[in-house]
Amino acid sequence: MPKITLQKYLEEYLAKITLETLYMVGVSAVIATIFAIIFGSILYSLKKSHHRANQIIYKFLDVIVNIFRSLPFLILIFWLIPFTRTIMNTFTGVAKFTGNTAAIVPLTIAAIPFFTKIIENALVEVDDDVIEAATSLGLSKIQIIMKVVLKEALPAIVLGITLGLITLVGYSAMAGAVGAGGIGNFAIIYGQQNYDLNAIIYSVVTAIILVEAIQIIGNLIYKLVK
Amino acid sequence: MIEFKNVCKQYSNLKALDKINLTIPSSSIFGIVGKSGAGKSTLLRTINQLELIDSGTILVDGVDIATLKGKSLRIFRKKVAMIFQHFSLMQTKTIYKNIALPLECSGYKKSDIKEKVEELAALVGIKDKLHEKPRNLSGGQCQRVAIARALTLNPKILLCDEATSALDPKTTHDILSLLKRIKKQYDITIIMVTHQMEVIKEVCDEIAILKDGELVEVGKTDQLFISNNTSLKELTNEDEIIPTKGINIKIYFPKESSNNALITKMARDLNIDFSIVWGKLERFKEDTLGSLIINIDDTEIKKEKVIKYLQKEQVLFDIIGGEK
Ligand SMILES: Nc1ncnc2c1ncn2[C@@H]1O[C@H](COP(=O)(O)OP(=O)(O)OP(=O)(O)O)[C@@H](O)[C@H]1O
Ligand SMILES: [Mg+2]
Repeated sequence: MPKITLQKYLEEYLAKITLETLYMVGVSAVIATIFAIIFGSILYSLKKSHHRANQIIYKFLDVIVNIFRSLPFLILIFWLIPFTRTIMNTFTGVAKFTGNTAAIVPLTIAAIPFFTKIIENALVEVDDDVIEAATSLGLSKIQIIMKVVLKEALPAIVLGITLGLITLVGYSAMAGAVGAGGIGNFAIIYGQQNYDLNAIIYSVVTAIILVEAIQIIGNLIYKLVK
Repeated sequence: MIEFKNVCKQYSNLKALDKINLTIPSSSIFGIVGKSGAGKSTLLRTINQLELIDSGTILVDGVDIATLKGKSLRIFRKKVAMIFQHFSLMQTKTIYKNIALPLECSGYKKSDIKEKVEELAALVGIKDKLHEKPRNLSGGQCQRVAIARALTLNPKILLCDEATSALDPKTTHDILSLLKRIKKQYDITIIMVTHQMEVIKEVCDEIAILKDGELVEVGKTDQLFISNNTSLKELTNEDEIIPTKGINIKIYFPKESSNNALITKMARDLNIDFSIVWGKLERFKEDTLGSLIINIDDTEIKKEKVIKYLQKEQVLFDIIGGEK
């Protein structure tokens, strides 16, 4: 394989691999965030509950979330292969576990417990005084979570999810090892396997810029919702 | 009317409220005072069930609030608003959205919400701040927002937990004036928990004094102050420094007599010299009340004369300290 020149990289690969990474990270982050808001709110309510039974349920769920959080991503990918095939079969009609779309499945599964913890922590940080004021105004428990706690936690959630997205960019590079596209896959095929140092430098710089861009956008949104 | 009957509340082995029997009349401004940890906040918070009681009953307009659960409790809470020491506003919402929150959660129409929010913003004087976030407002302005939010659902009772304790004296005065105005305009009952004596004197019609979870005194504010109530004195923490020689006579100035020149008149009429050794004149709402301690030489004749004179003038007084 010929070495890749900067011009060739910019013309042929940059846009393609960046979009592939954004696709994998973006879709899995959106799905994971939706689940995480639901799970995070449930964990939060259980944690805040005064009933002993709820406290026990919380402890139990918390352990499960933490087990999933501590699984190394590469192991998760392989472990989830049967599940990924089933999901892919259901949604695309093809029972495969490689490729960009298939990578979304383990990425999402990895992101859900991670994001759930981010959101739970953000919710817990919300000032008790504000919740008490909402209670005194006659709001229901659901209204308090939906309209007060989630809203007050939003800046912290935005920062947390931004961090989560950056982690997912890293995970998506690992997914590149099992046949998904994106920046990581490019670095492995053209850089590592072809001994092309320039290809590695290009992809690393691209990844750095991408991460930086995510952080800047995250900070902007944070300022808006604060 | 709010009635507490034998209300008790315990935190592990600490009696936060110990057999409280108290009636708070409607349409008044009622103060709850006491040292830190006396149970003031706990008592206040039992009224809207932010705090549950262990035994006893609380009746609000005749309804036993222990019977209120779920939806009926939420409806009740909408009629018992509350404001807090640190305002408890949502930091991520604009002032407009903060005030609108209870209305939005009660399913009001957008146009009705707008009308109500603007009406209340004008009432509390923060109309030009509606699109700011709380962090851009001063403490006094934040408390105004909290008051507006508390009034959105037309409450009958307004609970204030140290509502002015985080504010400077001028701002405190402004907020108290606002509360007085609101009380008149909407005919609501305001219950104020505070450790600030200025607050009590400025707005409270009646006060209850708590000590270690027990109710030790209830009465009209001015009477408790001028009668030199011991429980109150413990709180004001003012030691009168009086001479040990001679006779000290403490003269109280209730509403009617505070303005006439009693002391100078007495000096002239009796031709007795005395020194004023301690004195205090204060504003209570619209009146000036206070007390003065005079010291006279240690002669029985003089003492008799002064006492007779004071009795004739129908002045409240006490012989204190010194050699009696
Ligand atoms: N949730 C709680 N758990 C345990 N003890 C509590 C709790 N809340 C209050 N207490 C205790 O109950 C007593 C009364 O508390 P409360 O907050 O009513 O006092 P307070 O008169 O409002 O005091 P302050 O002026 O400091 O606000 C205090 O001794 C306090 O430590
Ligand atoms: Mg208190």
